[in-house]
Amino acid sequence: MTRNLIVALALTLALALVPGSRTAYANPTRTVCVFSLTGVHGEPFDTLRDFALTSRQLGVPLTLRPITNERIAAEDFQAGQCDAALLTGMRARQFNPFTGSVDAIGGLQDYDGLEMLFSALARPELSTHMRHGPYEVAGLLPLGAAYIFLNDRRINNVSKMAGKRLAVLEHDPAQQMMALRIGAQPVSADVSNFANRFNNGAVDVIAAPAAAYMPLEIYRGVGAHGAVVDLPVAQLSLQLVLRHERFPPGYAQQAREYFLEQFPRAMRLVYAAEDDILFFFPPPDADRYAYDQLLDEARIALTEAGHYDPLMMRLMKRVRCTRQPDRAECTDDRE
Amino acid sequence: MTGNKQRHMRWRTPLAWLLALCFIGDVQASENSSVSRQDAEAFFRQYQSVLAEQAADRLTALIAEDAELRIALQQPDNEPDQLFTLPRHRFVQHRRTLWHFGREVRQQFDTPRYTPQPDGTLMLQATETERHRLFGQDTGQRNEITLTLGRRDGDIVILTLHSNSQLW
Repeated sequence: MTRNLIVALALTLALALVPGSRTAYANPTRTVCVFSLTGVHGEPFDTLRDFALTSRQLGVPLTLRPITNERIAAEDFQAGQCDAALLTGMRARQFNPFTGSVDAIGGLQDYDGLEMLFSALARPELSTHMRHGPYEVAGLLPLGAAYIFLNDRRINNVSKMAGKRLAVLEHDPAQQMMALRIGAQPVSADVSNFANRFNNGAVDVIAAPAAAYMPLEIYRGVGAHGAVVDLPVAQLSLQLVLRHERFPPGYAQQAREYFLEQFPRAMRLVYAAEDDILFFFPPPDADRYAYDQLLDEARIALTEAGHYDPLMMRLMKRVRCTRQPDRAECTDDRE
Repeated sequence: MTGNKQRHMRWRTPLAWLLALCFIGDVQASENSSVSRQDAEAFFRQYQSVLAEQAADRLTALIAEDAELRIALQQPDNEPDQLFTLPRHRFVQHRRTLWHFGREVRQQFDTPRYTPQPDGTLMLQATETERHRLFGQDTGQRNEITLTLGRRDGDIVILTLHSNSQLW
């Protein structure tokens, strides 16, 4: 009996010393690489700071590491230097193609639809889709829709985008494909420099969320003769991705429910940011359908090319058709 | 049978009074809901002062929440005008953000024209011109507006706004 106890203790000790066998409880403090253009000031860092308090109650104290360069935040996370990372959905696509496709072009056109989608994603029934290999998405936050910012109002329809210089994020092939599709000249950029390029005239067109408008002074690029098209090109998101083996079971699900509760808080900021935009005009009434169709065709082509997850596309279509059953696509079988 | 008849009579009299009161009330409401020229002149003075004072909240209050706001925006190079339909908050946002970013804002209104409509609303036509310095440039807009004024909860508000607009 005593001998068995000694063997069991020895085995336990041996297992504890084997690298990689440590459980989430052995050293509960976890590091989150937080992509935040404004560092520790403002959102989204404040939301993560609040989440850290909840996480502590869940038994996992968090150390938040602000990183202003998203590429570095993603690389550090991938290299295992952080246990979790807060990234844009487009960047998070490499860790989970399903949730990373929330930001698909023309995916959802309004925030009620987005809340419906996020509510579905926080349900335990979909938890298996939140995991992809060693990664798990533990929360989504709305960053607001991406809108088209133009430095010239004479670009008053899609055909006039032909030949214009359009900033595309280098890590999102979908944007490059979209640029080529409308005949624009894609100019590679990243989140930290795309606004500067627009403001100093190096590019004519960018897509950005309203949240970037005041902090990055995008109104300078739009100037006195530009415009912003009040048509959501995509719904941008922030996603908390973690290495699930480094967190206790059930933690990610609780975190997803926490972040869903933060949806209204995040939306208040989005609405406030959108209210600040000058020359924020919808597409002309006559072109509205053509714009919708252009976005739909682009999204379908990008899904066929493997950029977007087909299951997420079906889910988004279901949301669109629940909200607007008379949409033409609701009777077809293309997505 | 007689009892039933009496019961009917007992109910019918107050019902008749009620219907009569409703009818009178309706006639009065109809009279109150029409917009006179004097009302519209006072409204237009208020509209001008709201714009001159750059009071976005008060501008919002002058427009019905479900107002039809349509802008025909003049296009460059002799292209046909583009027609936009805006929700109220975006319409007000356009003015508010121009005031926020613009400097040296000056407004001018031409003599308005008032045309009472058979349904009690009133059509107001005017041209407003706003000039400002925006990001170091002299810019502005000219709006030939046609407003339909009506009453909501006793207050006069813009029910429709159609504008032929030019931005420069």
